[in-house]
Amino acid sequence: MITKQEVEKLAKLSKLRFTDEELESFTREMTEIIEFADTINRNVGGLTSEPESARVMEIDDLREDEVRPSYPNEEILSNAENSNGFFVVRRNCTK
Amino acid sequence: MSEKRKYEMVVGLETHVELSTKTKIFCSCTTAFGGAPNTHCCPVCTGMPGTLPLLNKKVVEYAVRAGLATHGKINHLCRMDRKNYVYPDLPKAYQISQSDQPISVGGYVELDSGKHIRLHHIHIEEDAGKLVHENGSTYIDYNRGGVPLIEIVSEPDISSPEEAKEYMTKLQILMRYIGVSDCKMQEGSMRCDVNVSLRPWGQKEYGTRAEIKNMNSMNFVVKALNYEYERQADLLDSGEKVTQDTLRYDEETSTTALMRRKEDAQDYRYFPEPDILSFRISDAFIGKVQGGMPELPMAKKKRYLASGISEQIVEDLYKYRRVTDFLDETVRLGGNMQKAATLITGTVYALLATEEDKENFDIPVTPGDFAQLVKYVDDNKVDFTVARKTLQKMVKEGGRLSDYIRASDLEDLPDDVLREYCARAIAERPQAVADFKNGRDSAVTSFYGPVKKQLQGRNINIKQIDAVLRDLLSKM
Amino acid sequence: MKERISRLSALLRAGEISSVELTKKYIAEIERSNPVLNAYVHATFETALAQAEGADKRLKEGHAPLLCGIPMTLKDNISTKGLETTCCSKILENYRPFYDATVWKKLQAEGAVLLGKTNMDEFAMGSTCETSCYGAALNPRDTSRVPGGSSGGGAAAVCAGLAAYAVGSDTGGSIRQPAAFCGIVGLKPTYGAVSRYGLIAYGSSLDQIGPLTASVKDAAIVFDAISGYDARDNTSENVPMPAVTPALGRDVKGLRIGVAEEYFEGIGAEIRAPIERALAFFEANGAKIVRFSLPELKLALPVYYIIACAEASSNLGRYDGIRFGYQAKKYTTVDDMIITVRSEAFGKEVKRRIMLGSYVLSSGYYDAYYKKARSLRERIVGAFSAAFEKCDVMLAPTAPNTAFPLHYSGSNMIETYLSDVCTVPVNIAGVPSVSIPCGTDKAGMPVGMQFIGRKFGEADILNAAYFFEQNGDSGVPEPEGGGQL
Repeated sequence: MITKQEVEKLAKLSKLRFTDEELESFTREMTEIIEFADTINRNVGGLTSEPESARVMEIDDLREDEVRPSYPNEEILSNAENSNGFFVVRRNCTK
Repeated sequence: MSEKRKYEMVVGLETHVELSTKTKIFCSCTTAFGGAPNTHCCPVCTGMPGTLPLLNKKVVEYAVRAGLATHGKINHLCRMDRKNYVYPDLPKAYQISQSDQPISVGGYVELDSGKHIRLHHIHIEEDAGKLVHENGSTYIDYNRGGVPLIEIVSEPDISSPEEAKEYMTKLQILMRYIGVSDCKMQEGSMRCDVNVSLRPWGQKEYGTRAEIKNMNSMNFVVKALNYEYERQADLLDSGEKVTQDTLRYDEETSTTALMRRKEDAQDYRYFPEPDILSFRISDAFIGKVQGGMPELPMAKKKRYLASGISEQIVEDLYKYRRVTDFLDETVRLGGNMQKAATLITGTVYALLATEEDKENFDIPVTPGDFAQLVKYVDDNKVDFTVARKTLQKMVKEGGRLSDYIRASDLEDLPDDVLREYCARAIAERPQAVADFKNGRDSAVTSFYGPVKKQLQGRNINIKQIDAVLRDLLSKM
Repeated sequence: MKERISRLSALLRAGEISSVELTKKYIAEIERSNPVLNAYVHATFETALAQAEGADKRLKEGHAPLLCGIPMTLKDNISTKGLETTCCSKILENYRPFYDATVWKKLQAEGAVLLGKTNMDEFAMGSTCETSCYGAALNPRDTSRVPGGSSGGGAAAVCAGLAAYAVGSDTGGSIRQPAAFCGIVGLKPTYGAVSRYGLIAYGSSLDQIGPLTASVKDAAIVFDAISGYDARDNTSENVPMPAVTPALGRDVKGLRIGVAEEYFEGIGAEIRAPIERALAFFEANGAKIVRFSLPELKLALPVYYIIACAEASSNLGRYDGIRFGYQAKKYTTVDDMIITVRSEAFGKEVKRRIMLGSYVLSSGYYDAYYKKARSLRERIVGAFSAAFEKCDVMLAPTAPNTAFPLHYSGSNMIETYLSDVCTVPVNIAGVPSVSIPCGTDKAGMPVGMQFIGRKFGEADILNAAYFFEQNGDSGVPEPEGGGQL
């Protein structure tokens, strides 16, 4: 069971805004999904704390500390609102 | 001062130290300071969709160094984790950091009193970009985004603002020694979050703590802690409760101000970073890093004190790795440690204006020449004052010691030459001769200077000069 | 006829057709059919023609690779420098990456010709292609049905002859299920076999790029071209990966085909029957059928949703309108802008999964959901390893159903998610799987079955699939486009 308040908190964490109606339906749907997810908690049995089969790398697999050229500023900014080489967010915007 | 206070202060520090690797932690962009905005950037460090991080080996090595230097236990299996929070300076909306399996666990930093400030752990993570708020807009530069950091988390073992400052100083010296960071607080390459609570003396349980974020000066830390003591003590005195808030320090007013209430505390939703495999740190690697470690500052400090150098001089010396390396090399080449130490802190330091100059200790004098100069002084071949002047010149103008002091200068002066110098001095000062003859014995000293001038730096015992002068005068 | 790539390649090499001519034919076909099918969301015809010209030069010089000059398509979540890459989400509208995905780099080096980017469920979250911000793609075999998802556009394009092959991604079945729905071949490679660099992430520990093709051999050829270690992807495996194409054509005598009963639980006769027929076919050809129980399979679906959503909630945090994509028209503060952008430009399913992911990672719930799921994932990995001691490949349905009608919605959320039940275990376990057509339902819609293999067992599963394709009878008509040339 998930409450509307919890959904509101999650929305805040997720940087999402919902109408009251959406909140209601999300609460309903998430309750459903979480009940489904809860099937894993009905599963008893030993739990390993950390995946043992997970691949592990050695120190020498890490990247060497060698500088490579960065990207041109125009490319970095090419998809964004920008000014003087900076990304820009204007406040109190009405476009 | 804390003894006089009503409550015991309990402080823990989370210190961020920027590592001086060449490249960022997850991409090959340079970490060079400065640069036009967003020019040290690539798709990875600007969080472009689809990009993947590649962990920098040097970052791990430096963090292992920091762990070993603080007597920590290096984790054999480490993992990166995502710390999720949304802020425009963090392009991926998560910081790749470490939570459960950091590089180093435990360890301590020793204070002068011998007290150990225990460490909880040291982990690696990435720095955020820089925001500039201007004209109602926010300008974002990701050049610093992805610069590697270590976060050194202490246990709440610090019990006064002064101890906090000493702990930070010790950390700073240590990190510079082992070459992992320049720890410049004013440039932000060292900064800390301060957790502080009060409790009545003798009470075991900790009080509720407040956290002061992002302090970039030791003096501010001291001021902020003093202010927090008063604020929290007032609350406790009046029966109110301290709340677990996040605060910011206001430099103008030397006070702290509320940034975020406990209820608004972030839920970072840490989870293992799926894009980076866990990595092993082998004993062989740890051994290699350990083998490359210099003698640590506190050990060095104790050794210098044991060798009889005065406490003040040791204090001025041991902080700077390069200075101590220079001194140790001088001693190895036969220079007297105390005289060398005195010359460095007395003479060389006078020419090094800033802390940074001392830290860099970039002087055009070789330890070999310096050791030789110290030996001359030790053997009474060069007068200490002359040695100081010579050293000053060498530091300022460069050149070899042999350019300043010729071998012939150091040979014993034939008696007849000294007699000739003395005779000349006497001949030039008839009035003084008359005074002496008239019984004013001290008039003999007025010949010392003129004789020394002719000696041009040769170290002749003044008693010897005095004897020759009196001999000549008696014969007049 | 099914084998498009080797056939087209032979024509190109023989000079019977030029790549430019071939590309123009495909473009004409796209212009004719795409208004209905909506398989392509970004056409890149100019680029395609330029690439075709380059390919023709290479073909003339000789020694051109197999894929040189062959027109293809990429899913809209694979980064292409200078070309729109939007994940079919409004939040990435007009986004043109300034770097290439490794897979696209490799294909360019082979001389591939990119016709465009294909439709998908928004951020690959869905199994119908209907959550795309550009509207659903349609199933070319029956335009009242979905092509499946999330790589539905690619599957539809290959099925309708609008591309020689497509490259998609599979997080929980997104290549195999649309392949099954459209009656084509879809390969989800071993996790770590194909670089993810440049693939816009959904569930990072599950995502894998793979081909959608008209035939098994085509899938093998494309896999050989795109697989291999990439230093830019830490999760790509640095192991020898011998080419799988030359391994095709072996018989199946002595091949142990595993059948895990849980894969068939709740699966209707229309799906079950053709797979049983295929098993009988293999047995008749000397394969050994090994039946066993794999109870861990039942855990896979909730484990998948927990892990995929957790990773997605984090991966999708970066869409804030600052560095790329959709921009808000009206807002007050920076925070308000970020919230406005995300609320206006993410679709409902994406929001749902972000919220669910935030939930399972949030303090107080992490241990019960995310941590538990991670641990159960470990058990599923172990169960697959154990199963592959008993058999060489496993055979299972690709989906519990054939292509849904458009706008079909189950009675609740879970029913929709349940349609992934057959595909997700493979992603959880990180093993490879290839889906091929094996029969049809009453309505004549294709039924898919998947061969599942050991880690890096692509050669084994492709060979089994190839054997069935060449010698068996699925009754599924060949996809379109074979005949046009």
